[in-house]
Amino acid sequence: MEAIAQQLEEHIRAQYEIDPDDDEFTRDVHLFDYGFIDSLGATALIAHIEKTYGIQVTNQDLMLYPLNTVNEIATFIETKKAG
Amino acid sequence: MECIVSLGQLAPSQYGQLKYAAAFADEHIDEIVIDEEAQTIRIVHHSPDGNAKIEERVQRLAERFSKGDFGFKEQVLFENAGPKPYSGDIIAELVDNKTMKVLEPGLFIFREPFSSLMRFMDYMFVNKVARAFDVKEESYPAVIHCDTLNKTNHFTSFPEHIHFLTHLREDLDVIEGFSQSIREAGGWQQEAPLSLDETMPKPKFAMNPSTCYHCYEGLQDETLEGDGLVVTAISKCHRFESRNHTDFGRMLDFSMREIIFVGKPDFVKENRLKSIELLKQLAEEWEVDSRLEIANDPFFTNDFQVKASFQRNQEMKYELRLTIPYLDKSIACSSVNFHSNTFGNAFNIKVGKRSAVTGCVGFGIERWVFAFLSQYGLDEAAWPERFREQYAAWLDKSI
Repeated sequence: MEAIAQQLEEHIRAQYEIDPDDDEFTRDVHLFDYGFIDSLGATALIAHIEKTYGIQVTNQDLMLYPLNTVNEIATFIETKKAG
Repeated sequence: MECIVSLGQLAPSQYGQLKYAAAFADEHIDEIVIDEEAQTIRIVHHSPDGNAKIEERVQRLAERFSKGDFGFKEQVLFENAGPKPYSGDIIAELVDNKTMKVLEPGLFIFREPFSSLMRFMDYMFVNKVARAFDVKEESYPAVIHCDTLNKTNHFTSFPEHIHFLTHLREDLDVIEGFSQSIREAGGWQQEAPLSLDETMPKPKFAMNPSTCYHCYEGLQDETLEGDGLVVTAISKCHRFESRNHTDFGRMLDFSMREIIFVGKPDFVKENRLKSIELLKQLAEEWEVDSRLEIANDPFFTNDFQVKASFQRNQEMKYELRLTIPYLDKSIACSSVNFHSNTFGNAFNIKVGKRSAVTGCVGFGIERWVFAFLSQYGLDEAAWPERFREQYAAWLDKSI
């Protein structure tokens, strides 16, 4: 999971222009509540995850899994890939 | 003519959304009826193209609402059971006693006591809710730049609602020609053709669809001090909702008071939570039969399901719905929203090094009055004691 979390963190930092000095950004911060990603950004992030990891993120997944932090998303990707 | 489209692919919870959206499918539609038992939607129309085009469009909309549907996240944050002593048809009563004049569906003139109740309730929303924060009052135009609406994604999320605003070209021949054509026709003829491209420029403005957009436009390129700021404003808002304006409370032109939070995430989230508590206290104090629940906006786009699911899962929107006893339904009178950094990014509003996040609480003033009167009627003696006292005290001070 560490590798996926690392890749995700790098992607989010680059794609959503997060300041390297921003100490509020961690792998456990709620990305939406803390204003790192908005609803459009979330849609783009889902498309990136589907393309990069070859999985499909369904509406049901969005409801069943907590997908609010880098670590939660990484765990979800690992679960889907294994399933 | 009429055509019937099967709703087999839709969950019954989506029927209302489809009926609402179907009104925008074709301008020749006269009536839309859902038959829940038969799982069909019946469209009565006078389209010169027959049934095929309308059927295809309604099916396309049904597909939009069914795509990936597995049920939405639902949650009620609080419920307040009110006594609802009145159960009559409040609209009929308001029209009969000339308190309300219907200009056309969704467009009204209000007279006393409706007009006083609107001012009273707005006063109370400011004093009971807005002033619980360190709030600054702003005043906004009734029109908004199309460029501003573009930044808010309004054109892509709610294109069907927009009321564009334009004027005759600054061209003496066009102005005189228009004036002459009106004289010759014996006055404005709604059905007479008008060449818009020749006589009017592309709209630069639209009517304001929502109060808070001006707040973000006003803060464009600013860096906020401290944790953020709280602003309140009331403005006239306009939304074109086609034949849905015949539904109770769906107005073409209405007044919306908003309390807007802009700043750091914790500042906005804490204030949003506080506003929910204040809303609950108000509902209890006024004894209105109501509930606050998770909601979604009626996005008019093919990715409706994704946007609506995301909005609900993240609990971005709560609606305070007040019961309308004689219709056995409820209408949303207030909403409590969280937008994350959408508007902070769109308008380059910073707090520290980061884009600000935003949230807002909205009060549909006419809807509040409609809903209150539908539960309590026009006889003040039947109104809740606290409400009656507050209204009397306000009347004493008001002009």
